[in-house]
Amino acid sequence: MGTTIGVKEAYAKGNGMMNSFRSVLKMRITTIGVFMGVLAFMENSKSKESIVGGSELFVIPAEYLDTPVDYESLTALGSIMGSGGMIVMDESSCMVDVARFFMEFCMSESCGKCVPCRVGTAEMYELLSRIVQGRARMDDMTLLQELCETVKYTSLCGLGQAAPNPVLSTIKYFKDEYLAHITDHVCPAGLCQFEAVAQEVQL
Amino acid sequence: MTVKTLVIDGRDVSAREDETVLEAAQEAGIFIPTLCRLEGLSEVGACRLCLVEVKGVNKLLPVCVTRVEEGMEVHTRSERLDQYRRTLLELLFAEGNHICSVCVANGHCELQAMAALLGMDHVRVPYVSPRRQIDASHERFLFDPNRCILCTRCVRVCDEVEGAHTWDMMGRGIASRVITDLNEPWGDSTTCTSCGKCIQVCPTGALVEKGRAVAESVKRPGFLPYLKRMRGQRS
Repeated sequence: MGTTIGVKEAYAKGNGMMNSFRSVLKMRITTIGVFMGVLAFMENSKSKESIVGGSELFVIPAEYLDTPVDYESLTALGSIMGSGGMIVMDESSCMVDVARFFMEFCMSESCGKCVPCRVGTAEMYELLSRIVQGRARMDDMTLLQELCETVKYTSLCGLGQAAPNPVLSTIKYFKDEYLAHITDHVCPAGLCQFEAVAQEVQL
Repeated sequence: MTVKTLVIDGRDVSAREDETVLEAAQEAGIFIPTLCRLEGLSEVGACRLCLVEVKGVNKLLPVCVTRVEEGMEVHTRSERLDQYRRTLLELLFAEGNHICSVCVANGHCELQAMAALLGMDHVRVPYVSPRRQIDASHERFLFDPNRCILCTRCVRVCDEVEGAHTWDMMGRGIASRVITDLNEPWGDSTTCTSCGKCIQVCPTGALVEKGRAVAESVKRPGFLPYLKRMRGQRS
């Protein structure tokens, strides 16, 4: 995962709210910033995406690098400001793995009171694990999307309602990476090890 | 007491102002699925099956905890709601080990009945298949956490009605479970009065009486509304 920057720090260095992601990124990133509320982007030439919004964050691809960091622009992109941190990632980050990482966080943070968040996050984590381990089928992808919708709209509190966001936004912008994992057993970032599949082939 | 009028599924319904939408619907004979709710106990809104669409409201609202409002327009059934409810039931089935054919509650299980009613005929999500220890240490009762759906009815009835508070929750997220006392065997519990109310309110076969056959294990939670009425508004 890339580097996180606190937006407060970015504001202090920049000219307030109208900084774009690009200008924020030009500043030296020195702190590991706010955990909740993350904006992420990929800056270098092959940069891939940025994430805005929270540990239940939204991924924004690099083509929106010039988006101003303000509430309206982020809402227009379907993201949120959150507490305003951002994570910048380059092409060495696997988007499915990123989604799985944040789903693991939501799963362990779930209090367990309502059904969709308690079981739904665990099930989504299992499905994402299948994908990064090369055990998934196309059915699992459909099921994952359906679970995302159910958990998003039926959860009791904000944690469950926002838990599917990393999955939904990575599917929206990086569906080809998911498909590469499922159909070709290839991780475009070269990060995922397809142990299960490799074992099956050996057998 | 003011009377509020609202529209539920296209029907005009009137309700007292302190009533919930669910109570108003039930009085009008409109069915809304619920699992964690039980008349006579407090509401938790945890099962999420009673979510409905309300006109002008962005979110889905759980009717068991939503008070009636004047002019409310409620839709209790839609393609989308049915799908969510089925998925929620699938999640409940996948979370535990709900194998009806070997369950003493088979045929009078609320989870099973709800699945049949809402048309949830198979589970698509991966089974969690937990291995949870059964607690048979109590002289008369048995607790099988594999069949528990964490509706917390037992916790509420033990605290609110019996006043013993033997049952409580432990852990969080997918590891949440119901415990007796401080996670001690039920049989060693010093607070349990062996009243058996938890057995009667449990919607599944998680809490059952020992030595009973399937046909003898019918749950009778009907004493609760009666107790509540007799005790007045206290509780």
